[in-house]
Amino acid sequence: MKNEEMLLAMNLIDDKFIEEAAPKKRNIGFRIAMVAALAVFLSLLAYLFIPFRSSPPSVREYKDSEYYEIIQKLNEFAFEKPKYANNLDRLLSSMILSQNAPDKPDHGNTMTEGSDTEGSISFEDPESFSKDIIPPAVNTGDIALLGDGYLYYDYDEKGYLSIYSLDGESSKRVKRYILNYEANAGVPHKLHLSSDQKTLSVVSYYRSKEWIEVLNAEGYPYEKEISVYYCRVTALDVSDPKNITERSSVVLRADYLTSAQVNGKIILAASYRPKDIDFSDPSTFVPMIATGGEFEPIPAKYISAPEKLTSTKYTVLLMLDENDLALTDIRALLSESSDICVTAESIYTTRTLTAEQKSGENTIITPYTVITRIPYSENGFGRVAANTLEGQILSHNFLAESDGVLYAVTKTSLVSRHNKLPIYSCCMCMHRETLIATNANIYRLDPQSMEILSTAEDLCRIDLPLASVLYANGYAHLSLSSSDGKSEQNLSVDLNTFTVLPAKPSEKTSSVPFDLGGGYIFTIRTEYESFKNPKETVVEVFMTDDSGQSSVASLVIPKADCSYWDWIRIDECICIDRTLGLIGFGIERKQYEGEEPDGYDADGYPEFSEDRYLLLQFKDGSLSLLLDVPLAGSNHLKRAFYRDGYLYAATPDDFIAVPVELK
Amino acid sequence: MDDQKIIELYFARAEQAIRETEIKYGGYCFLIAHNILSSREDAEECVNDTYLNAWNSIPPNKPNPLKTFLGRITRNLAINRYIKNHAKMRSGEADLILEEVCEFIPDPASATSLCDEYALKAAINSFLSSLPKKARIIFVRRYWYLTPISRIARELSLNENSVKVTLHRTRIAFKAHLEQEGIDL
Repeated sequence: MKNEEMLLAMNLIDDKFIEEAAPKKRNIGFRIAMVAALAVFLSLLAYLFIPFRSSPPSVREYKDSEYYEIIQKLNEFAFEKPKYANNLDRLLSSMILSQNAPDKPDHGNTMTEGSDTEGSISFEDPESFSKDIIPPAVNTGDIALLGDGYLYYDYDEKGYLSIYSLDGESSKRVKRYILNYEANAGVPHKLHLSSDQKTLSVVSYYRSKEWIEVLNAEGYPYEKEISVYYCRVTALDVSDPKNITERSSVVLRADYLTSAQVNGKIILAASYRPKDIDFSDPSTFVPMIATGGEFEPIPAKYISAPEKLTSTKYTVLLMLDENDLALTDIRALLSESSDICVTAESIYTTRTLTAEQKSGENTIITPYTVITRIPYSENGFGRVAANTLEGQILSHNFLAESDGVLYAVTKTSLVSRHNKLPIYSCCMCMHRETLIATNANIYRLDPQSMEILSTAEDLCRIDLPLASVLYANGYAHLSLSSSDGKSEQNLSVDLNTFTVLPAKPSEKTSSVPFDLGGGYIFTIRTEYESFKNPKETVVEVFMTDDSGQSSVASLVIPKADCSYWDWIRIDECICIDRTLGLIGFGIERKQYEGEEPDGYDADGYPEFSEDRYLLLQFKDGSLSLLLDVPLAGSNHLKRAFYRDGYLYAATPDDFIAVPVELK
Repeated sequence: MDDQKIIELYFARAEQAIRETEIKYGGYCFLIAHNILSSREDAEECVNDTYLNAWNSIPPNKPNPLKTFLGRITRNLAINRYIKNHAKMRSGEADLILEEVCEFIPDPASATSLCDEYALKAAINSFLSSLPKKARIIFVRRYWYLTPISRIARELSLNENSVKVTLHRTRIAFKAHLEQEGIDL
């Protein structure tokens, strides 16, 4: 025990030395802080230096799917290749960019969708509901049509189809039929009548809110509400209009583009954009169709895709028998379409993209259009051909097919985007783009190969944007309008020589022309004394020859307001009978400010305006007013037809049958 | 809580004194006990015994500083326990240290008088006073706290060899100092 006792002897050491040598308390908090700091540092390193994924995720697990090719292309397109190697690269680049001030890095010469362009200059969306200049064999349908003994009208807030008998002054509504689904309420329908007059096909389109199950970032499923678009074609047996029955229907889960009726077939064009794609479930990335039963994805053999996708949007084409809606053919093109033009033998789809080219501190943006032709026959759709044209095709009115030649007018634009203007706010961004010039080109193409046969460029003044095109009488009539609406001009291009005919200065403001047949075109325009007081509506007929357009006749209708036409632009609301030279349209007759009202409504309030319908006739070089009758309802929903000495006109609120005495 | 208040609690016979002692010096006492006993369970028991001893000795004692007072109690209790365990052939860091201590510490049993103990205490502390601070700390850490060389080296940011060399030279110097003071080894 001697050693242990010796150890005890060290107790003789003074407290001060013991205290001095006392082990220091470990600072656990400091250690934790150090560990935490180290963890943060390592995380930061990982965040900065872990490289971004540079290739799309594998989809090999779906290699047995019939849609594998589509899956591969969608997967590759949906994957956005990172512009930077890692976050450090991105941060450094953004710091450098912020010092140099441009908001977007240089993409060089790239293609982007027109709808994605930013700034004050936005390329126009193609018009909806405007009507093709259709060859006689093609009927694109409308909310109203005239059968042998009945007028069918289908635009009602409750979704009613009204059928009126055509019995002169004894005409009346013989049936009001509601289609047996609610989703059609308030949505305009397109009507197509079979050649035997026994089947009325109603094309309706609607949006439905639906709940789907999707996976969140952690892989847990949750419910999500999405909007789903549907197009429905319903065949009604109208052989006895008083006893209508539903014969069959086809529903496509896609958004309506257009419909047409030609040679006993109904062609339906729609677009479908996949949402929340799950490659294990084709219903999330393939258009679905129901032909009387459950929805099924369109089989892969009917889907075609370009080598390299530029969009995940499909253009879906259906060909249906006009009598029983039997499906003749389907074609789903994995390519977006802005507009569709149906001619007697072809379907043309168009899509606007933009090219960007950096030039010094600016990026020059120019739009171009991909135009695709899908030929068709009574047996189905044929092989697709496409080409690219400079500029935009704003509507299917910009296209026409005649004698085996496709004509296309495009609106060209040159926009400069300043790259170095600082970004102070979104408002500031609005001023970063400037329209340098705009013009128009015209192309002649071979529809079979879509090769450009000839071109004429820069047809117009660079300060007047092209607004509309009318092909008639061997000419392309171009309407130009400035953004302030004051300076407008119509000019014509000879389709044989592509010669631009001299545009004559007009004393009065011009307007979008219509084809009256027989070599004539006409315009309808409203002129104002003040903002509230329409002075008059002027209908003017022109003829075109080698010296350009010249006025042949005009008619002034005082106090008539037809300005709705300038913002609605629905061709069908203008009634034109080219055989008899008839022109019909609705107007609003307004009282001048300060004038005593013409009448009072049922509640005793003064009526300062009245909805009316006018019918004019152009004959022997002069225009005359045949009818000026009351017709209630919105002017753009008025539809009228002349038959056997009577004008039959319908609106959602009214129907008239008025005798007409022709000149 | 400062030491004065803890001692006041002891004087007031408040059990909170034990809790406050444990909070402030529990780790310190455990370190001393564990250095000697190399056993967590034994060290914890030893520390608990320290609190009991402190409870019994305060009052009447009024230690200042409280820390070394508790350390001494712990150390003595631990060495006693070590001696008891050593009889059962247990071994620990203390065995190694004992061998070193035998080189320079006289057998306390040979100190026949209180006067001799005072002389020894004075010789030890005068020697420690003459040492450089780092050498002194190493010495006390090793022979009072019975801390393993590896830990001393780590805590003082030295390599083990340096600690060993310092201890070796200090022991030689200490032995010479005791001889010079006329204390027989």
